Amino acid sequence: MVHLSWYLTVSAMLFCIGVFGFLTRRNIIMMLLSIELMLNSVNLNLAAMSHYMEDIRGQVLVFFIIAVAAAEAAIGLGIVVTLFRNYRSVYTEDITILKG
Amino acid sequence: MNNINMSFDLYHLWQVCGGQLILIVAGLLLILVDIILMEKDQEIRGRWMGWLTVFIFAATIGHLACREWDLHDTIFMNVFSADKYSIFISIVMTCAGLLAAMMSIGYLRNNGLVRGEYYILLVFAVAGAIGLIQSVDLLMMFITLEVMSLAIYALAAFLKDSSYSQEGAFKYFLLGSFGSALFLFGVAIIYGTTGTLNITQMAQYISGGSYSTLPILVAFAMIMAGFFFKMAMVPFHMWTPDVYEGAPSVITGFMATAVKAAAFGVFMKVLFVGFTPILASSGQPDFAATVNLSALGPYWKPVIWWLALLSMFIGNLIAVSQSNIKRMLAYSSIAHAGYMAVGIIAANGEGRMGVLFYLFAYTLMNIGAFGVVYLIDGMERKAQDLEDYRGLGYIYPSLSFLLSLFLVAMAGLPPTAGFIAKFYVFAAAIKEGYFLLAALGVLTSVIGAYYYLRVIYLMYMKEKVKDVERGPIAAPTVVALVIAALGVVYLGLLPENLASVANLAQQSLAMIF
Amino acid sequence: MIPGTYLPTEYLPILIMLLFATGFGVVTLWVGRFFRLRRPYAEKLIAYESGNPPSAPPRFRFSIKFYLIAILFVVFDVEAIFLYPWALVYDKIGIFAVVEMFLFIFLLLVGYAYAWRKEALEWER
Repeated sequence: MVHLSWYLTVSAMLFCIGVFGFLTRRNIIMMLLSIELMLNSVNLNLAAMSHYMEDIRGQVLVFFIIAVAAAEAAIGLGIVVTLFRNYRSVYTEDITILKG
Repeated sequence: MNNINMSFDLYHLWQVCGGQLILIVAGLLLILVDIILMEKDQEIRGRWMGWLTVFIFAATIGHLACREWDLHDTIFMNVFSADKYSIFISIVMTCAGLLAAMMSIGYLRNNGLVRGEYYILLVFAVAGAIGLIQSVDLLMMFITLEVMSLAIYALAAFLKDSSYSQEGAFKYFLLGSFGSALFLFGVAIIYGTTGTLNITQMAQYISGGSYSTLPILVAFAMIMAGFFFKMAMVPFHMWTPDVYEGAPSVITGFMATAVKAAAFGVFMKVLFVGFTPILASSGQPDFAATVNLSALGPYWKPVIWWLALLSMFIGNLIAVSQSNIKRMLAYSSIAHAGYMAVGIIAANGEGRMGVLFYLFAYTLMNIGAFGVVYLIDGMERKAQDLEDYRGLGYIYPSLSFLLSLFLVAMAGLPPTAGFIAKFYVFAAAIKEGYFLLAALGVLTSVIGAYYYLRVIYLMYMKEKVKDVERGPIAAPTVVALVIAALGVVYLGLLPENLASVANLAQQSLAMIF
Repeated sequence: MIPGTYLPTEYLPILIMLLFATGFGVVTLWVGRFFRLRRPYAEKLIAYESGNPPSAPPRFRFSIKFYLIAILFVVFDVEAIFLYPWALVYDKIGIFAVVEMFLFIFLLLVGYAYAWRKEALEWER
């Protein structure tokens, strides 16, 4: 049996990696992946807690988060495709016509 | 496992989630209508879809206004609640949707972008927003938040060939999903510590003494940060100007009003139900212990105090130096978020009532202003600089008059709704002893008045330097603008009716369970 | 058993094997450097593609069509996860569950019909 705090530690680490990647990466696909990593760390967290509390709601929440993450990825990639058509680049330093 | 209670009667379903049901079913029907009309001419298709959407929103407002106002109920095992509070904000957001849909008919035609998806996304965005404000459960709150946000991301990116629109939408998408991920992590911690996702049960649990423990405070902070992204409060506001400038003008107006109303509404719901002793005032013995939650005040009040102050100052100061009118209005919307937060920090009935009133007034004046902006624009980004507004007062007198009215309202000058709204929130803050914040708020309003009135000055006192040709004016846009203008003046002269309704609405926050 | 004090000792052989396998690969490649001959010439340095000369650079850009199909696949594929919990409990809930799932599938079908009629599924356009 693995203790709950191990899962929570891994999940917190994954979340921090996601935040770090989101803040430091300059490739927009990588930023999308970081957000997915953050959502999945929450999934791990919820699934572990749900298992240890013997309560089903956390796992239900995981299902919904997976579905929402897919929808979010679809919208995000759709925007990335049109963005790429307009800018011919996937790097944030090239995508800066709005400023001030 | 065996006590899954799936029995409910359709009457309650209709009374509680009628607004959402109408919008979701109608959205699906709109998809089918769009498919059926695909072979038809663009003009016919746009007219059908546009007017159907207007009709749908009108029907939703009708349902929300005519349902049994005193009926407080929850459905689906306490997932959605119908109370005066959520119904009030639902009506505000549906009004924003209605005005936006009416303006969109003309806007899409002017930009040669008549496409059915636009209206479908608008309907689903409002459906998500209503679900968000009605949900009592953090799980449902996340899902509906995403339903609303995903539709808005797509709408913000609707100008496919405009780099500005794409860039703005992408920034909005990235920071919005970052905000929802933060929110979600907070929800996960709450779930792990309290074992529940329902905010009333959560309040009951943490009032037992665990309210000041580290996990609860971290979760509280993360949930707040997630909502601050949507509310465009200052440290989380970076996306606002870019998105508001890039997105289609009407959608900008919709985002600045409906999304803000949804975010503020649900934020107040979570804050006041879950983290303050409001439930104790309902007289239910189950919630008597929530009176302990007032001990959380020293944790969140300073945070919101500073954020409100920073939002008011940064929003107003940066708006002064803007040359694009949409960007200027974006910074002004950050400042308005600050004013509304002043009402939240007062944490009394007057403050909450003031915020509700503010949301309604702001919806009318902001969406009206963006309606005029799109008309003067002609095509998107053709005439958005403040320089283009020079001398317009004599070329397009009625449009200029309407824009002046909305800007005066946003500046918070007396005969308009904006003045009354600001008065309510500042009065509530003063009543609770926040003299400094209220004084600084009034000071920033003066800074704000400078750049709003500068546009009016440019329109009436300057010679024109550039020929600006407004786009063709569609009849529904005129109707929407006139409704918004009349509303702004009416609420400025006779605010008591709406204020008493808003007061009833905020009182019902204590009865969510 | 006190929580947190437990060490999963029965997995120790797997850990040892993992370390050994990694070490073996790294060490043999490293030791091989000292014995093998290095005689590079042009044909030897090009990428190996089953004996054929490479026809294009390996990092070419995929057609945008793949993205569209992939996005649609992700959306519709993930919705299927809701079928699994439903399949476990539908006999306990009864007719309501069946109706609800068909409602859900109907919603997906509307989306599918939309994608179809908007020619999102057409490969050649």
